[in-house]
Amino acid sequence: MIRAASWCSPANCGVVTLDGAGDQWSTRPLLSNDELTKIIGRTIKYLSRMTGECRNSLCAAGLAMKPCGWLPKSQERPENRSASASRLNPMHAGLLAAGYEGCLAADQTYFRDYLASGRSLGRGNLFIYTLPTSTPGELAIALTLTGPSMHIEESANPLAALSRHANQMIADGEADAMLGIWSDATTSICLAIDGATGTGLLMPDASNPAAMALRLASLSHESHTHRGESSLVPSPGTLGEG
Amino acid sequence: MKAVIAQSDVVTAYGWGLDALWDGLMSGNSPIRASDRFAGRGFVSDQMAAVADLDVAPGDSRAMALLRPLLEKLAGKLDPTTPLILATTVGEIERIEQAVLENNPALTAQASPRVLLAHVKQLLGLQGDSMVISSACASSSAALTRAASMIRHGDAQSVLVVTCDAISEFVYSGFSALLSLSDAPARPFDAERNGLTLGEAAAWALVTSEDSPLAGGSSTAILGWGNTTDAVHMTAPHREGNGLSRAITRACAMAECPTKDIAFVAAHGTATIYSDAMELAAFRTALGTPRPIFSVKGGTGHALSAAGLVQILVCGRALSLGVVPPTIGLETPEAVAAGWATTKPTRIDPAIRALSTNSGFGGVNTAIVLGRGTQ
Repeated sequence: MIRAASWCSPANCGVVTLDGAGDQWSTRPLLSNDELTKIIGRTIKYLSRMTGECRNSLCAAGLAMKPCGWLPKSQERPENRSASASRLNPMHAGLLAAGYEGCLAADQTYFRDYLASGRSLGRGNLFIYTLPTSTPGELAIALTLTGPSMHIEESANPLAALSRHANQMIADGEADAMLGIWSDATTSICLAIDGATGTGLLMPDASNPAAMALRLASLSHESHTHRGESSLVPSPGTLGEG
Repeated sequence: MKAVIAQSDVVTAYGWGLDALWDGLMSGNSPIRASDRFAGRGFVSDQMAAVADLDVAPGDSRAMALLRPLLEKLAGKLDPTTPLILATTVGEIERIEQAVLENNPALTAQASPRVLLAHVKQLLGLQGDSMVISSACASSSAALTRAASMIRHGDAQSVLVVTCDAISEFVYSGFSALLSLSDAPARPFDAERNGLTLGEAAAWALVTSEDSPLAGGSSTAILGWGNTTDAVHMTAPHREGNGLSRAITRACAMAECPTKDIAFVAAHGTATIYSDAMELAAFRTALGTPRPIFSVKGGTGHALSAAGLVQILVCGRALSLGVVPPTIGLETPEAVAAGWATTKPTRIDPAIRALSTNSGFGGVNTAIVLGRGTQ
């Protein structure tokens, strides 16, 4: 089921959780190194090399994983982790991505630079980001996601498709938990999915990710309004700040 | 419900069809040649495993030129509702080259694999669900695992997996920049290996349930699989092969196949120093005792997204005939490959299991346990 849905757009970012207890939101995207580090809860090297799309996706992924308790708890690397790690340890989480536009931009950047450099020597550090799986690769490193990682593009209903494939992977025993991330150049949406049965979070309009981000923002705002005095929901603007 | 590869076709530098690929590998000869296609570019190599005399029609991409003859034979023969999975890393990347060279942004959108997917769908007359799957150089094997999963979960009666990547200036220049290209034909698992040779290939596989009327006696069963990520580096593999060994372990567990029953391995075997070493480390960890492994890349070159399906089709033929092909280009196995990498064809019991593995950028790994369809 979908336990949490998060978003990071140019206007705001936040997360909506199944029981509402983990709902958080901010009136702006949280993309500085310090803010991203705070969301993830650990120092992440190479933040500065990430594209805007990648940082958006990292922000959304971190926001979705945090209330689920899936974020890595320390700096330990996968090779040092115990094989007996508990269920839902991030070691057993995977990532499915959708949204291709960012990769096309990286493709152009690489080839333009190659031509400008005399059409004989490209830049390896640009070339390695010319795949749709570049962002999932960076996120896997940053978040220690050692399960399946692939880009699945279904044009009809991308978020529902990610959710369906993620559920099948969990049912097949490929992972205990999956993230489904849709992103374009400005907005990322992340679904945190585990193998529990039940209704989970519903996606009112999964066919339109941009509308979905707005809907999530709206849900979060409603939640804040209704529970204004509740300590469970931070005030707008407090997420990742201070 | 067990999924099987019921039908398939392939083109590689060895030529059109699985017979040409199999016979080429068994001959020990390599079609890798020096090429003047990128003469004057100053790349670190001029070697490539290109499909000879490929007829690229005006307006076509090289990827589509590889796919069209394969798919035209299939057109009209499938249930129109058959789901389609296209596995590719860069698709019709020439469109990006054109867009930048001609300063024509309108061409950029044409480079999206979704456009290639639409062309394939139209060519085959399919009207069902369709998707593009990209998992770097494990793309087609990852796509095959998704197809098998869809069959297991009853999502479809059959799923068509199509894969293609062509040699392009874009990709060749990139691997040259990374100093990954060998200046001679690739020599997987050899003590003197010094890099990969880029190749190109296209293939398709129709995945069905084992009881489908489309699944004949020569089908290959997809018994189990594992997809994992190293999560340590964007391009360099985990030194000890932890990610790949976990993928193998998961694949064997899903297949309910003790590792001792894996009789041979179709390895990714790119012939780069670190990737081959990583694979051998993973095999030692996950499988323990040596058994024959082979790589097709000394002949087919590294066909990127298509690499996985190409070697899986070879695996199917090996299971059917009871013989493991040699590793083309291998002369002197490196010390840790002794007892594993094969320089000559090896006889095996056909009633056994095979393993196929792929790894790629982003630290992705895929392992698939295969058997004969009748098992």
